[in-house]
Amino acid sequence: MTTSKYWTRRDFLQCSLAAATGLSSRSAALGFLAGAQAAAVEAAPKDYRALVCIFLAGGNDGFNVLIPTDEARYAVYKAARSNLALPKEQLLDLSASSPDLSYAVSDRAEGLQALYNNGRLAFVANAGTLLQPTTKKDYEAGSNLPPQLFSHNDQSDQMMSSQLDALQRLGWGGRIADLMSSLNGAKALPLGISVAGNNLFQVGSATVPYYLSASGVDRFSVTSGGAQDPRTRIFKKLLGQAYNDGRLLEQALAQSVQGSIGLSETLVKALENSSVGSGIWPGSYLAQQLQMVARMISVRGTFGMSRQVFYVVQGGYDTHDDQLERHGNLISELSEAIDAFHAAMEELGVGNDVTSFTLSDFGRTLTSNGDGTDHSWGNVQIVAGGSVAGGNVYGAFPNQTLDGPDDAGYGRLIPTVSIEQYGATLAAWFGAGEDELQTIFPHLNRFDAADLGFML
Amino acid sequence: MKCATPYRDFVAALWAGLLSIMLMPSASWADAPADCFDPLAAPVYPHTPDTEVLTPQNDAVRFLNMATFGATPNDIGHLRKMTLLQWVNEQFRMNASCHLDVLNQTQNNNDRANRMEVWFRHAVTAPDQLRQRVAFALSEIFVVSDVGSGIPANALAVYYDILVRNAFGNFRDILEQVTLSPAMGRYLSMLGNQKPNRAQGIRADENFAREVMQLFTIGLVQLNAAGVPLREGGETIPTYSQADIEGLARVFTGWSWGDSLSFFDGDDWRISMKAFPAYHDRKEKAILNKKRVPEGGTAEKDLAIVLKVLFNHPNVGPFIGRRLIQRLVTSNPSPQYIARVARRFDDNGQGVRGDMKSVIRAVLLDAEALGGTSVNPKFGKLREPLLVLTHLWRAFDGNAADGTLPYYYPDYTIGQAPLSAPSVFNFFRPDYAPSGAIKDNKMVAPEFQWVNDANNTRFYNELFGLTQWYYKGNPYVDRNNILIDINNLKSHAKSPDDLVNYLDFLLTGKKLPVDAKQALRNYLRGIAMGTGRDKGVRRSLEALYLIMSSPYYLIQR
Repeated sequence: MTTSKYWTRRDFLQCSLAAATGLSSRSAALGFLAGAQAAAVEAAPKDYRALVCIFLAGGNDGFNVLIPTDEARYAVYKAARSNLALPKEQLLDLSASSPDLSYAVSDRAEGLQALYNNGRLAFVANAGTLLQPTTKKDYEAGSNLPPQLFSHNDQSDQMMSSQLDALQRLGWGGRIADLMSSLNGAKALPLGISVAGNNLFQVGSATVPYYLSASGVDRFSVTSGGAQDPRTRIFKKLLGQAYNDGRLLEQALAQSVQGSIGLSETLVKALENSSVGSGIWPGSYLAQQLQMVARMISVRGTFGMSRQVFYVVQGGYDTHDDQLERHGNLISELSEAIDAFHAAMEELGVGNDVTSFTLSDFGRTLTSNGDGTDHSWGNVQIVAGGSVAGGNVYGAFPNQTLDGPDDAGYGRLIPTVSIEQYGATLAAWFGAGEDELQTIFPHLNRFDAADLGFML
Repeated sequence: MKCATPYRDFVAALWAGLLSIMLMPSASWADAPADCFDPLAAPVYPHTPDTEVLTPQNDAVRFLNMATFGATPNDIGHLRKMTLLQWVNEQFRMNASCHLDVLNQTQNNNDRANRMEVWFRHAVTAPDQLRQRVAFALSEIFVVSDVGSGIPANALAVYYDILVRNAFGNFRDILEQVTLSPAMGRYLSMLGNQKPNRAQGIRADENFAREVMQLFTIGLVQLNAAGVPLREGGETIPTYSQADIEGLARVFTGWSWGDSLSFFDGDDWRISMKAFPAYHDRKEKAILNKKRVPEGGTAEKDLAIVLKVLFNHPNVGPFIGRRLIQRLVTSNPSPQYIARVARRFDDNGQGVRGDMKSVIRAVLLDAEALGGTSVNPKFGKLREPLLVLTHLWRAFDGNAADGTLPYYYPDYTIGQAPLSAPSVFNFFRPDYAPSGAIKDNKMVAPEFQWVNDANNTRFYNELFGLTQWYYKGNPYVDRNNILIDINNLKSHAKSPDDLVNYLDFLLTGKKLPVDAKQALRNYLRGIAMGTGRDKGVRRSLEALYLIMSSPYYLIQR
């Protein structure tokens, strides 16, 4: 850790509240600290980096996105996946990095194929929640396994947080924000911005993300008369009283609403000058969210942003039935949206500064339950952007033999890479130092590589 | 407390009979179940015996905000004539207002907008408020949603009516009917789940097997009677293993459409799924707690064994009890409160397990529910957005000219719509805690999962529009919209003091702090009374919005 006090949204709120209504001395003291902090960030680096988390909600079947096509491994894949195996002639080949290990993506993933073959996209094979390197023997003995494997909410929580105590959990995106918000300027927005609602990934101990919808930011009607309007003042006064009266639920609500009002005014104005580039965007909800991310990135200068973490969601991946059709459509949407987003980033001149990456609840069973799959563990994740050492598969691609050494049963693959290694590689590129990485990812030092090498 | 309910058994038998009728394949969309009631009809309260113990006014408001879709002047007046227990028992005796029946009277029973209107009409106007309120709470536990599932509107009404009809029945029946409903079958893919086929590389689908335990009955870890996780060597004890899930998944094989001769097609959402023996796995299966489902059983027989095991698991009382308390009363019930409810789940006093009436009485009439923060300082919850709108329209007689409640897109305007949760985990998880003081104090606040900048803005703006513009007498809006009646407010508007006190009473049960009331009075005095048609309008509307949008109202204590 390099600094001891951070310019957080909470400080910002209390400061602006104090300025607006002349409230308590506690707020004023925080305002003073904030001023000192503002002076300190003059020396902050002028570079820009953004991470965009694309959460594939429900559990993406990553092993039907990235498929081994060399003869030996394809035969194993085909046997394991039975009626869900994608026929080889439908697959889109990826440029091979080694002659005997070849890969392809599903026929619906043209955008992913193009980015990969251009060296701007990588796959990380068989990443998952782990407390330590885990073998099949460990799994069978039940030794030091992540709690509640295969459960949606628990596993997505662990993908986003890697902390196991439910009430104290913070997300790794939020902890990055806690540690690095000081790099942003005095007029900065919160480091974390969610276009997809509340999520554990962005929960920090000192920072609260800003939430906007895919269509942007609206003004508050009640305060539309301006700060001096008596109605604005009574509305804010009631919020301020509720904030200060010490009752926790009232306080939490008032705090959130105060923040929403303060930031909506500034953002509405700033977004009038935003851009999503000149390319054609697909119409999916995911693409709309990524367009909003692009708009926010395009106005980063207004707020002096040097570091940003975004969060978007694509739902529908819990493909217990009708998987081939449903999953194909989802991957097609995902592929088009990622492709359009990174094309826009190139155009906005931040192609190398913005990295998108996927997370998902868990992988899915290789075996079929008739026409779908069930909850599994290890999965394939996707990383894209100009700073990705693309055109490669990282991690250790698992042995997909049913009942083989990597199979925990029915093709539930035991991860060969921890999600903490995956996150740490991204966080290191983002600028986190070694100590900070250990703080953000508590089990990282149990694994031999803290950096998987997929970032340039 | 006195007052017995001699007809409990009679009513239970009646329900059972009706339910079996409802599940028969001969039902058609137009058939109304005999017990369904027109929600547009004026409430007819059964005769209530005279009593000396009346409910104080402010207690009545608080109680009705937990037990109904929001306190109204009429209901407050009615409740004041009796005890809370008498009110609850009176509600137990009321006919059920069923949603499908009313949806069938609209022009298109498969239109989502009509489903929304019918839901609001029931929430705002149905006389069987307690039943409707409990059904809504159950719909947030036994979650089925139209988000991403393709389940049609009329099928969702059929599903919702299972919860409406059984709200005062037995939990065991809810569990079984939910399990066999095609809507749940589709949502958690038990419909069409077939036995394993090694040659084809096919396993049983684990979706329903997992969620029926994790979310509908027992949860992930062993609990004591107060809902506190048991520990062994410091570690919590899982209720089931992955192997149990795999066994249970095989139990739930062989069920498909009730109207079909083929396992693989059919489309009648009105009737329960039925078993297709050829697709059921008859081998022995290991399930919960090393229990076994013996070889050779039919799909029906295996299901009966499993539902019996789940229903009788000691976790169900505290697990479901806590969830019902959170939906109806408070986010952080004390373990003692949960234990008292769980005891009533385990035994209604007459040896019956799972009696919902007994559970509901325990949830709503507990000393902690009635005493609020004076009993438990952590008492309180954030009102769900839907419940704020229903309260507005109930308290101020909101409706369109034809008596309907045409509010079609609540998901876009307030971020919540009935039977439209983003996933089986509902809009809010029971353990959600926003970071900051709530989390630091080891409290939870499930509804805060909804609270964020985007939702705050649209909700506050929607409430602003609904309270400032959509009122009866506004010459600029037409009567196809839901309009509120502000005559009552206007009559108080001359004195800002009266106006604030009246709204404080009606909405919060007098929970506004003195300084907030003072600030409101000062502000309202600055607004001219107006003349003629406009007399008192602005004061009324502004007072209404400012109180309903304040944390003192939105946090229900």
